[in-house]
Amino acid sequence: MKFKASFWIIAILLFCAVCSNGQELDSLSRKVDKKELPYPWSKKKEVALNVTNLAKLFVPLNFSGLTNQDVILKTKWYFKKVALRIDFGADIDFNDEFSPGGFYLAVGYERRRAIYKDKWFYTTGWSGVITGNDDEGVIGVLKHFGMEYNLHPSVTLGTDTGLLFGVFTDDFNLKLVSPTSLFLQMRF
Amino acid sequence: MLPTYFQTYSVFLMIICLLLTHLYIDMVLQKFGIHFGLGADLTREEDVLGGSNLVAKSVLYDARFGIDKIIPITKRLNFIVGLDAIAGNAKNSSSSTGFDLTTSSFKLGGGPTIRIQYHLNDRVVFMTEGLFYFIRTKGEREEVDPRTGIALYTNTTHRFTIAEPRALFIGFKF
Repeated sequence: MKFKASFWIIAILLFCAVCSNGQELDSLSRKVDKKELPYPWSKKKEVALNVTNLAKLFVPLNFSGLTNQDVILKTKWYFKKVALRIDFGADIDFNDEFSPGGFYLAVGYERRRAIYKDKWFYTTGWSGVITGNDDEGVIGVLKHFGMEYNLHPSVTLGTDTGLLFGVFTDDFNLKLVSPTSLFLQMRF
Repeated sequence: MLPTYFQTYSVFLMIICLLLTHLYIDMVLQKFGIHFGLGADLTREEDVLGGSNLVAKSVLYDARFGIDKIIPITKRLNFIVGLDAIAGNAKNSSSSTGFDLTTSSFKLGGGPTIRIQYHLNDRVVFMTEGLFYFIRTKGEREEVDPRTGIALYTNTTHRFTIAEPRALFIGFKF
């Protein structure tokens, strides 16, 4: 199931790449600041929203039994080469006792590198993660990898995967985070 | 030229997925905007043929109001940061052969929002949103049993939720 969803997410990225092939996206490199900032995204802020459920309404991503990643919002503050990255997700019910329906917070850093021209990028970095839901809680470290496609110099479509290791409720464990979420990211 | 910086009025209609509001009216003043949204749902069901004489009624309505700050990303794309206040009421009642059950809840809350707007042309806008809401809900449950009488229960819940974009609005500017 996860493989199928990941396949569709990659397919969407490829489809966007083909559709906008004629657009002049190479302007990204021209917008590099004259102060010789190393990348167009240097000294910029980025906000990414999880649009998987919205995309499911248009493309067949909705496989039963599959859950998305817990991250709803990603924020990145890029310095020259490295970004401070904070990921959020929450659905908390404060009743008689504090019982998180779902909570996700990751703080870490990220680097971005170009794969192909000014269109395809990959990102990588490390984050400290604290997450929990009704079934389990995790405190750990995430090595994350992402793939992004620039629809526009300021708009990116991307997905993330990673390797999470840490304490899962009461056991030390390792988990592969599948790329089952699609993020629409804006830079400003 | 797309009217990002002009005074515009937009009516957004939700076209996919039912979320909080179905109708959303937005007024943009320079780089700031105010908006309000409304949603309502009324249903009534009767089961006479089944012999139970079951009557079920449901009334739901939601409203929200907020302010926006518009950050243009491209000529056609806007990133909007906002602050919303929301209120809503829900009442469900069912009755059958002397037994009545009524549940009602009133919610109040609000929080920041993130919206993405895409201008298809000067008149048509697509929009989706992510919500960061803290909601307090006060609920009541009333059970009427002819043998035991009336029982009334109340509860209050507090919820913080970050909702990813699930709905697509289409807006018409005028």
